[in-house]
Amino acid sequence: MKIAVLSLMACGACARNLEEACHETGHEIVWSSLDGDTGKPDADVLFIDGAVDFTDHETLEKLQETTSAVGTVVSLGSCAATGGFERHVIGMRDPDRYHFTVFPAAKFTDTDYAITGCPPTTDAIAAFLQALDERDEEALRPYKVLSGDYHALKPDLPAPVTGPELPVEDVLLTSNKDLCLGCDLDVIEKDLFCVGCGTCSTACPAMAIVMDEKPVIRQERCIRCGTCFASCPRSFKTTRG
Amino acid sequence: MRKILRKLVGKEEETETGTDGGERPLDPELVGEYRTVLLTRATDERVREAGQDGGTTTALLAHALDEGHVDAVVAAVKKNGWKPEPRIITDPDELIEAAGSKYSISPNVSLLNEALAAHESVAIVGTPCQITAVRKAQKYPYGLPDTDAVALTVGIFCTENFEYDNLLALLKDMNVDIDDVERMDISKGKFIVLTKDGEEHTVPVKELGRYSNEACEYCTDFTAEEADVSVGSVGAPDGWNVLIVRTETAEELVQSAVENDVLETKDPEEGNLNLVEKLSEDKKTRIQASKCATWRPYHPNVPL
Amino acid sequence: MEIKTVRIPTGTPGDIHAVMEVSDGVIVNAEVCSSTTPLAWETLVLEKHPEFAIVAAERVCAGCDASAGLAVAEAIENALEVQVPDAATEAREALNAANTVRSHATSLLKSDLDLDADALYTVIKAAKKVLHALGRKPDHPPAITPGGLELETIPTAKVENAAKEALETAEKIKDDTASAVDDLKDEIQAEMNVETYGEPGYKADLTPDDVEIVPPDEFYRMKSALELANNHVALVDGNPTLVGPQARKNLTDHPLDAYTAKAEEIVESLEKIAETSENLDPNADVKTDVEYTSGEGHAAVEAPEGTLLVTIKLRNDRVDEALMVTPSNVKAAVAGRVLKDLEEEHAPTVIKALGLSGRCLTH
Repeated sequence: MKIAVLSLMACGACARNLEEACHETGHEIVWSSLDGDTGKPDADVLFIDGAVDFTDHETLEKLQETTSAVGTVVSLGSCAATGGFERHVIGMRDPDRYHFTVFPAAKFTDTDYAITGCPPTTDAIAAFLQALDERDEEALRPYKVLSGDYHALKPDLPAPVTGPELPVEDVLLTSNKDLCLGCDLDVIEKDLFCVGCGTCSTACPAMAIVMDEKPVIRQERCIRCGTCFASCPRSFKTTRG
Repeated sequence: MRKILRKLVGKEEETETGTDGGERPLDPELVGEYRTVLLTRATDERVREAGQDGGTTTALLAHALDEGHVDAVVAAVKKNGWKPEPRIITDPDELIEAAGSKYSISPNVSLLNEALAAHESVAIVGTPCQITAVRKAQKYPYGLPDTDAVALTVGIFCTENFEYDNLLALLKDMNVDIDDVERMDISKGKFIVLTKDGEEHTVPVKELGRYSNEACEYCTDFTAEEADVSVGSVGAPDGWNVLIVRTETAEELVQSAVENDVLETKDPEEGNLNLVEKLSEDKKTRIQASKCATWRPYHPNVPL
Repeated sequence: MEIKTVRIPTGTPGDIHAVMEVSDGVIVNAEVCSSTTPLAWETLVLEKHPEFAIVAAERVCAGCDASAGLAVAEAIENALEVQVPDAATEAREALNAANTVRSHATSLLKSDLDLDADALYTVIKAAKKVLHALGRKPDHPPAITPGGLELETIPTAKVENAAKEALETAEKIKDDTASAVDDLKDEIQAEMNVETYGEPGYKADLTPDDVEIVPPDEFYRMKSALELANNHVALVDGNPTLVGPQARKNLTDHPLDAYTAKAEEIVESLEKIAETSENLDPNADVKTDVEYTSGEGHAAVEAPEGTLLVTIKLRNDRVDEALMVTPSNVKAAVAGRVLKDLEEEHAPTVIKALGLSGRCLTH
């Protein structure tokens, strides 16, 4: 596939891991804002990396122009998908001099898929690229749901819960929409879906979760990336094999 | 596959041939896909004694470490007062400490990142939900690098698990002090506690519900269907294990363990494999009667 | 005479601009600045827990992530007068070296040198293994904590193997880079006549007293630069100073020697990692308990792209004041001078070689 990367307010780790994943899987990055490319990319997939300051009109225009040119748009990493670390930045600026309101890129444009992580591992991006390349709808579903418009969701009331997973759509309704155990631990734990496996703790990129049978969040280290939630075996079902 | 089965079963070969070639001992609908089912136990008596039933898990993992199949094993060890704790084990002898079932939550997967960071290949032992978690992490490795290095997953049959405080409460209601416990077991529909004075205290499994971890009520997986190999005692004769081998790598490992006299095997016919199917089915239907069946997301438009 | 403003893609996050006064295709005067929206690390860690300051610093820029975390951790330790176990310092040094390897290899990949990507990725993989082993994740290693590293045991064997296996490839990269740089030097005639700061190693002895931080409106003279700049610049001993691989290796004849220095540092860092892990006891203690009191401390670390200075003032378990001087802050002051007398068309190549990141500049 031909891949384009648009890097906004970001540290660059997501884009770097994407480059590594592309090298491993043989996909070509044909357009990258990091390398100075501008205008409309001629690519199959566009990855957006980072957050946007909503008073920064220039960046918003760039975002619109770039996303309109590509068929499949993916928010890469938590800053682009749900806010992640950049959420900490909201209101942190000196408003006289700088902009001060930062939101995930996915808030300003329609995205088809979202890859959670701070940053998503090279393996995670490679797995996504493979699923996308093979058009494996089942494997792609979680990425799709996580990129959705949470506010538009309505609960599917008559449907009984038939498996051990708390369907991710339902969590989106229940939670504060950041899908991060640092904010939303209750959804998994208080709703009694936590089995105490420790996956959230092992996946956490900031080592912000310790296990005392059930997860305990060290809020002082939490970066609101949501890797814990996405990794939880109870957050969404995976297909076997 | 039949060939390997014959080889593994060895002298029981005759009973396997001919008569029921197409019949599978267990229904994959209930226990998940598998390649072979065996009855096994550790050849080493020391391991058997430390283990819960046949010591198969301990022996198999020790063999995997000895053969260099894996560099490290993540397993639960027993701390004071039967409180389990996950540990990364690299020395086969240390595995003895991890032998035997513990009936409270041990977040084994929480050590997986550390194990993968330090070792080239890792085995993990866990309950079915933990194995599901590992498989999910392999398919969607959002935050966990190098999940390919998980070379072996060993699933333990599991009906339910207990939070430690609830286990204490259960024992208290059985009039047993945790420090006097010699052994705990779930067998033949009963939770059996053997105290150091040799007495046996039992509670029917049906009554465990209110002590168990709530999330277990929603679980539909009894045999760790996504593991490379699943081990349990349900359906096996006393002192033996049922071993469900699901993947080729696990099959090779089991085969080499048998060849190296680490595991001994028995014809599955000598056990009562129907029990495995029954408990699997119970767990798959239990969810409909659980709180989960009435769980609904909170939504502003939906009254609670 | 013409004033031109050019956005220079450096392969790193953020926007770097060169404002140049050009006469007959030659740059007469230049200033380099960043228009990137500031992350405001110094503000966002205020009133937060010191551990958050580390986690946040690692997310300033992916290039130097581990080193930024280490600098903050060391500053906190100095503020609290905590003595870190020797083994932890050694392991941190290896962690910093691994970060250097990864950062430099990524930078060489993005350079205009056309090097063997497979070789560079082999080295990056090794560095990631070390970062994972010593830092618990290959990106933004989270094991860095005040008091040492959050590790049960030190996986010395894995670290040593990873470093040793990559050494041969690193040597090849070093040779390839040297010849590629020589070829490119024939094309781009440039001279650098600048002050430098930096020694090989992990810790630097730069103190806040040595550094002067100048706000953009006091530093930039050209109108276009003033309008764009969101960044401060830092002067060392009152002068625009070059930090980073070139300064550490003392290879300052030509700006493109930055790549030569980086390739050399990749080899040396891998050797350092191998040597350190060989001597480390896997079961050594790498963490002391930290009791949060009030105090002020600073620390400087040789991050991949240059010296990184952090000052932090704690009030019990809260950050009261924080200051970070990044390598790009220091290099931005000197970048304009490096461009002087250069042909205009070579400006992007040279700025890219200097290793500036817009995000780092406006941390």
